[in-house]
Amino acid sequence: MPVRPDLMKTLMACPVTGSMAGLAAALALALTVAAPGFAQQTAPQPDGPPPRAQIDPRQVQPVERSQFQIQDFSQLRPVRPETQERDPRLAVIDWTAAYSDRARQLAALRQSPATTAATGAPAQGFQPQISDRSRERIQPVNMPVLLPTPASGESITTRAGGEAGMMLVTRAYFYDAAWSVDGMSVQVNGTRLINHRGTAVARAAGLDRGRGADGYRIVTNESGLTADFSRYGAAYTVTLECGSGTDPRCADEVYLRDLLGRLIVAGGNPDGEG
Amino acid sequence: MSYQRDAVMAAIAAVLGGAALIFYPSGGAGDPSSPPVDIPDATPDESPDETSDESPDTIPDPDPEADPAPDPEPAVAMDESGSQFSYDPPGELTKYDYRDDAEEVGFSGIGFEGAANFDRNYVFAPGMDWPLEERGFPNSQVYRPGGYQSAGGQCDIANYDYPWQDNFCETRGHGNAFCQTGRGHQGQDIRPASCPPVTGGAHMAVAAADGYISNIGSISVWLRDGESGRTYWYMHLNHWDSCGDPATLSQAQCNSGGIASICSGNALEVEVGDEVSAGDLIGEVSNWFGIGWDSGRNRCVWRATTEHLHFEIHDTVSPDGDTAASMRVPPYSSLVMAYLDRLSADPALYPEWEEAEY
Repeated sequence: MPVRPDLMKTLMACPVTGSMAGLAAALALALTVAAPGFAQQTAPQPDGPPPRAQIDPRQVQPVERSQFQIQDFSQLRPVRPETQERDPRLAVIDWTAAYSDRARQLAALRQSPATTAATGAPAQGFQPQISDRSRERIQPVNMPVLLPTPASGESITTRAGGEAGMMLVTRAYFYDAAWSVDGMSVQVNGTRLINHRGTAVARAAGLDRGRGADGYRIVTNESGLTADFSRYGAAYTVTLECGSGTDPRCADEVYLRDLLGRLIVAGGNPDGEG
Repeated sequence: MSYQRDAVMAAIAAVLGGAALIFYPSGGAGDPSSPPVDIPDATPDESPDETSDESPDTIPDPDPEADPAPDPEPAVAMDESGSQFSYDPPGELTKYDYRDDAEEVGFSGIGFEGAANFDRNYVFAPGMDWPLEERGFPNSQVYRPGGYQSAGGQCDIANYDYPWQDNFCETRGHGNAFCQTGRGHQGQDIRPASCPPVTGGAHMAVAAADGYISNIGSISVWLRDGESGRTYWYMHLNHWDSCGDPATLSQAQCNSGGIASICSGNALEVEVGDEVSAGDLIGEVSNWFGIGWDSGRNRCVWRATTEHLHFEIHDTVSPDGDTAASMRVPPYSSLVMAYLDRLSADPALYPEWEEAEY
């Protein structure tokens, strides 16, 4: 799948000119993982089925704000399209659409005074940036990684006993990001693996039950709300879980839809580590 | 002479008796109604002595019709308490209304009946491990004793016995694409080995696969299978070491973030991000369901369910072969297979259900 020259140019020219000064730590925490670039290419994987996912200790550490470092996007080399042969277990990724969305999202986020791409919420002092450790975790993921830009005034934590910040765990073909906002658990995850094959008949028979015209299937569950959707060919799920059965954030779709609107392409690698 | 005659007679009697024992081993062996009897061992060691003067040719061929082999004992799978494992078929929900002791078709809803190329028995998570440390009893928390659509108490012995019952798609208001109505229970409820309010003790949930803890919410623990990419949801595990009185919370606190202000200490065996191996402890099965504002009593209260593990499998199904779509999938068949594995069941006991390739 070729990369359009104009997008390549956009990706190569993506500059970062801001500094760390003035960025609140909590905002940096979220923003750091919100808008990293696509990782640079890696060696193509050999043919054959996906190997068993390897555990990389770097990939299971929580984001620690003390280790953030600003990265200049101009240092990132351009990406190239997927080159390996199609594995039937892997969904086909529309990288061109992912590149296009990312360029549009970053352009919107760089505006000053900036607004987030979808919500209109102020993105105070936002500069596209990425930490070394976050980038290291996102780099091997062989699919577009969606993460949200922060909502105004939100403070990201983890539950008691955990380390502060957003938990980001990645593997070659899936990833999980989890954090807590004022007692509500939020999780965003994605996967490119296809474990079962339905058919158009199956879809018509109901496997798409509940999916709206916008592509989101939002359902209540025993502890909150879940939205699932397919984008760029991959499957994504966003889950809210509330410890209170009367928390309005888990009772209606307002917060969830706002979060869905704040998701941007944070990274991914067409070649991945496979 | 008499001694010699007695010896000869004894030898003849022994030969005839031995032959009779070989060819007519036990008079009741073919009669299932007969009580068990000790069957003389007819191993080669007990065959007529090869040094006997009698030629083997002189021994009549045994008549197969007259020599019925004992019926083999049917294979069964026994759990650690000596109970025989049995289960109702996937998709068959309870029809029994304990309130009026009557059966009614569709009483608790309509189970997963299969969708297009997914049979009702299809095993979505082959190779998954049983998610409890001990034996357990999948069945309904709502329509069995102690549930709000039933009578009696949750510790009723009927809830802690076989056969298992599916309750995926049981009548609920939550969206579920696999259910005929588009709504229904999104997982499988599993009671622990015994009912803690009566028996005490802790019953532990364990990792169903190698992977990592991808999230811990206020009610649930999520385990990502590091190989298949499936996610297993564990709900209602005991989350906190200690909690204060929720009645001290204002309505605003109760509705948002209140738990963190009255509860402390991680009672789970894992933290988010932990890598786990199949069988590792995750946490204690409990009735934990958080808090909520009771407008009738105008105060914040505990919410509680019955003592059970609510277990879900989140997986990917492609409708076109190219695109991945996430959804909750029926877990019951996978649990049956996992339990048979756990019991090291005879291969003959495994149902011939289609299993997912991955």
